[in-house]
Amino acid sequence: MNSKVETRDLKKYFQTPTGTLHAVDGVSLKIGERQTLGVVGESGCGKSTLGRLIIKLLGNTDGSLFFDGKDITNIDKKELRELRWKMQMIFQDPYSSVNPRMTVSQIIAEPLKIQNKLTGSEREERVEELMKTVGLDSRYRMTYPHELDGGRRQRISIARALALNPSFIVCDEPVSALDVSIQAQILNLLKDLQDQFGMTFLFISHNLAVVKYISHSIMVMYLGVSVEQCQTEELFGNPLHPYTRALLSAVPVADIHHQKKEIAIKGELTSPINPPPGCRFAPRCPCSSERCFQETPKQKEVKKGHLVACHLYE
Amino acid sequence: MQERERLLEIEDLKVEYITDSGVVHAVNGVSFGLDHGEIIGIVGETGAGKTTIALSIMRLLQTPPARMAGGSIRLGGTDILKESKKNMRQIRGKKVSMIFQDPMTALNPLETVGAQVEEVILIHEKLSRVDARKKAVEILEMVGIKGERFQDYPSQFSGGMKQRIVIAIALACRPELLIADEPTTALDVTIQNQVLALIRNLKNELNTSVILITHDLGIVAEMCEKVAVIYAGEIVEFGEIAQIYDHTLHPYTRGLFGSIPNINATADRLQPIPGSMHDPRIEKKGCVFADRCAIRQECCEKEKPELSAAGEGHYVRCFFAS
Repeated sequence: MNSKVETRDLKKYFQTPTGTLHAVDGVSLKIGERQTLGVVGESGCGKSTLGRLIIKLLGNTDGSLFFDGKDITNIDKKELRELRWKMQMIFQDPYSSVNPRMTVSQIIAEPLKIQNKLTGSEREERVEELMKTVGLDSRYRMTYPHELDGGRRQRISIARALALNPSFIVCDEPVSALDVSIQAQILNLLKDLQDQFGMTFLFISHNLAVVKYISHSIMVMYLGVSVEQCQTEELFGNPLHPYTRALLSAVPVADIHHQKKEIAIKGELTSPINPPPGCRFAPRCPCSSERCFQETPKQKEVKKGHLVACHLYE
Repeated sequence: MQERERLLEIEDLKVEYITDSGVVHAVNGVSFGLDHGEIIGIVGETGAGKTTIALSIMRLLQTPPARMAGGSIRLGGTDILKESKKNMRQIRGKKVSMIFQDPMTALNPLETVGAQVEEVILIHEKLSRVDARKKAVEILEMVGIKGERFQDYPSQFSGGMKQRIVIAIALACRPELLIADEPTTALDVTIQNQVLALIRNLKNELNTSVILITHDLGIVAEMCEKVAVIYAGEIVEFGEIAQIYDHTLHPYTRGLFGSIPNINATADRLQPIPGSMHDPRIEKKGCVFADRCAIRQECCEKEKPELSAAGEGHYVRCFFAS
């Protein structure tokens, strides 16, 4: 399978007054054409930074980035502009990611206007078509975002993201701010769009059940590193990394007969600023040994297509 | 199970908000009761009126724009809605307290966390400063904050720790009723687990009754004994947890279950509820859920179904749920 997006040892460090923050610290991943890679992890694990790096909203500190097989790590501004037509992003908060002073149709038409390939009336037609695609009634064309609820607002940002027919979309927690009944509508919409237009998604979320539903494969992140990567069924059927296991056991299940096998993990996320050597998860890990605090585990393929970064599996 | 005493009785509560664009009927005749040591879950989506119910019990709604349009709230014999403002200050914190969704904004950033716990104790209990401090340290340790951090400021704590401190403040005077409004929504799942376990333990140790407001059916399954499912200001289904989860009756409740991806099963497709909640400014003649309901019939648009018994302690507001 050809990979649509690939990163090799991608790193992003931020300089802060108290030291270097390792937001993304050597992430390698591949996303196949027409596939969805889910990225899960808790707040501060670097998943949003990773999304922004891949779409080049942020420059990386080290490592390389490929799109459609082409190295785009150091492309110039003009090339990047054209590349952006192919890659788009949907943000978490539909309240702050659309301009409150523009009407729905202006918001959706904005990327088309910038691209400047269509005439005014063609643009209007395209807007109408996009609204239909995302399930927005055309009577909302002239309304402003504040008049609509969260679900409809998220549909606007999806329509805007689709405007230029991108082949790759980064969805950063696109349903976290929505109610469950609306969340399901948007998740189904994203699935349909993928089937219809053959798009590739990077789907960032903290919600494991949502990621399971939408993704073909999953990457679990902890403090800037990928601790486990594999196909979705494999991850839920055979989780290997102690962090993944703890995460899975912590999810509340809407079934009163569900037997919870709780793996308590102690404490909270340690600081990503000047992290000590060794495994990032070691201070909270129920299985950590001395070695974990000294030597950083490398991500290894322990089974076909199943990558884990843990000394337990060496 | 031994008979438990009634602590809270809400009857036909009606709350409206007067706004420039009309009257919003936020809570529309809600009734339920709660025993000592019981945990009840209130489940519903944004705008269903969950928080308005909670704030009514606390008498923290600003009037206007809010207006208590009817009903009563009795807490251990006192009618909360008829109490004076002065008396309410004695009741809040002592008999009933509340924890909010966002621990980042619930704490005063300019005061040490110790002082904030101590403050509640000094207001409600006749203790000397020294004793109050001792008690504050005890409570902080009970929720898992080390006593030596007494003098630290909220900004020095992480989100999960801050929520623990908020819980410590809420529980400082051992209230009979704790209202937890989405207490873990802002927290990560591993931290959420720790906070939920803490609430559960405190309930067991102190026999506190808890109203847990959440949109997460998973949390309810883990925590609660009874559930009220609320939609557009009305309870549409009420019952023991086993009744709600295993014998779901109301189409809205079913819709909620169909909307959540299950981590234990592979679903090909979620079954969302079509549409979105109707405008709460428009009072509906018929069933509030009718326009999104899959099994609606003509009568649903015209007549409002009553909340009627469908089994021992199981109530549902629907003509056709069975």
